[in-house]
Amino acid sequence: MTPQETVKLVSADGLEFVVPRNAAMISKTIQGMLSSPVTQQEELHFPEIRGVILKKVCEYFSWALRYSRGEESEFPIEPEIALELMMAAYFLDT
Amino acid sequence: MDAKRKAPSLVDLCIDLAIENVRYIGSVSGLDSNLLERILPHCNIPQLTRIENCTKGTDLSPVTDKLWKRFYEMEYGVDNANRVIERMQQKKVQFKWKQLFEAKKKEREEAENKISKKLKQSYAESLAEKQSRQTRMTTKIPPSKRGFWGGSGSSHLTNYKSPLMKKAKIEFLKSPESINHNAVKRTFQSSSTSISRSVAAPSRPNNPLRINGASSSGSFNPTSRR
Repeated sequence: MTPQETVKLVSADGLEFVVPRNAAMISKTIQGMLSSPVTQQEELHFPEIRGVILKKVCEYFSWALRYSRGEESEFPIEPEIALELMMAAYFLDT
Repeated sequence: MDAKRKAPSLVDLCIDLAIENVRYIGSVSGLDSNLLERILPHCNIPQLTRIENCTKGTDLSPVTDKLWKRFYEMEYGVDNANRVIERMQQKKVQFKWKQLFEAKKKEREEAENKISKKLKQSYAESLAEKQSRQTRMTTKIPPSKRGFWGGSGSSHLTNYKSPLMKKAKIEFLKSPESINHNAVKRTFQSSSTSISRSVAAPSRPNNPLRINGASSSGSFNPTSRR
C-alpha cells in the first residue's frame, strides 16, 4: 500500500495506527479532516482518545469494510470500554 | 448483483451494548445528551438513581427530568401528577420531578408507618384484654377446705374462718344422721381388707379355679357384701 493510500492516526498516549485511507474515511469526522486543505500531512492526532480506544476504532473500520463486502459477522466490544468507545465513535461520527 | 450492506454504526453498536448492560452503568460523565437520551430511558428507578448519584459534577436533569415525571405518574397516578403541576403553576414555583418523587415517597412511607404503628397498638391492646380474662398458672395454693383425714373428726373445724359456719358445722356433726353415717364409714373402712381378698377372685374371669373356690369356701363374709 502506498503512503497516499494510508493514513496515520495518533492517540492521546502516543500510539500510532496506520490504516487504509478508505477504512478511515468511514469516519465522517476523519473524512472532513482529510479533505480540509489545512491538513497537509497524512497524520491525524486525537488528544482525547486513548490508544486502546483508537485501536478498537481501527478494528471497527476493517470490520465495517468486510461487512459492506458481504462478510457479515458480529463486532465484539468489551463492556468495560463501551462508554468510552461510544464517546469516541460519537466524536468521529462513525 | 449483491447490494452493498451498510455496516451498523459504531455508535449504534455501543448504545445497544450500553442498554443491555444498563444495570452495570455508574458514571455517565462526559457522555453527550443525545447519547443519554437513547440510553437512560431504559433505566428503572434504582438504576437511574444510581447513575445520577455516580455522575458527580454533571447535571443530568435536562435528560432525566421527564423520566422522573414518568416514574411519578406510574407510581402515584397521572391525577396526582397533574394536581402537582397545577399547584406549582398556582404558586409559580418549579420543582424537579426527582425531588417531587422523593418527597411523595417519604410522605407515603410516613403514612404507612403511622398506620402500622396504630395496628400494632390495637393488636397489643386486644391481646392484653384477652390475656387478662384467661386463667393463669400461679404458685399460690388455696387454703384446703377439708382436713387431711377425709372429713371425719374435728380437725376440719379449724379451717372455717366464719364463726357462723363453724357453729353450723358443729351442729351438723352432732346430729344423729351424721353420727350414723360416720359409724357406717368406720365399719366399712375396717373390713375393707377382708372384702378385697374374698371378692377379688370373682372379678378375675381368667381363673376359673379361684371362682369355684370362692363360692364354696367359708371365707366369704355375707355381711360385707351389702
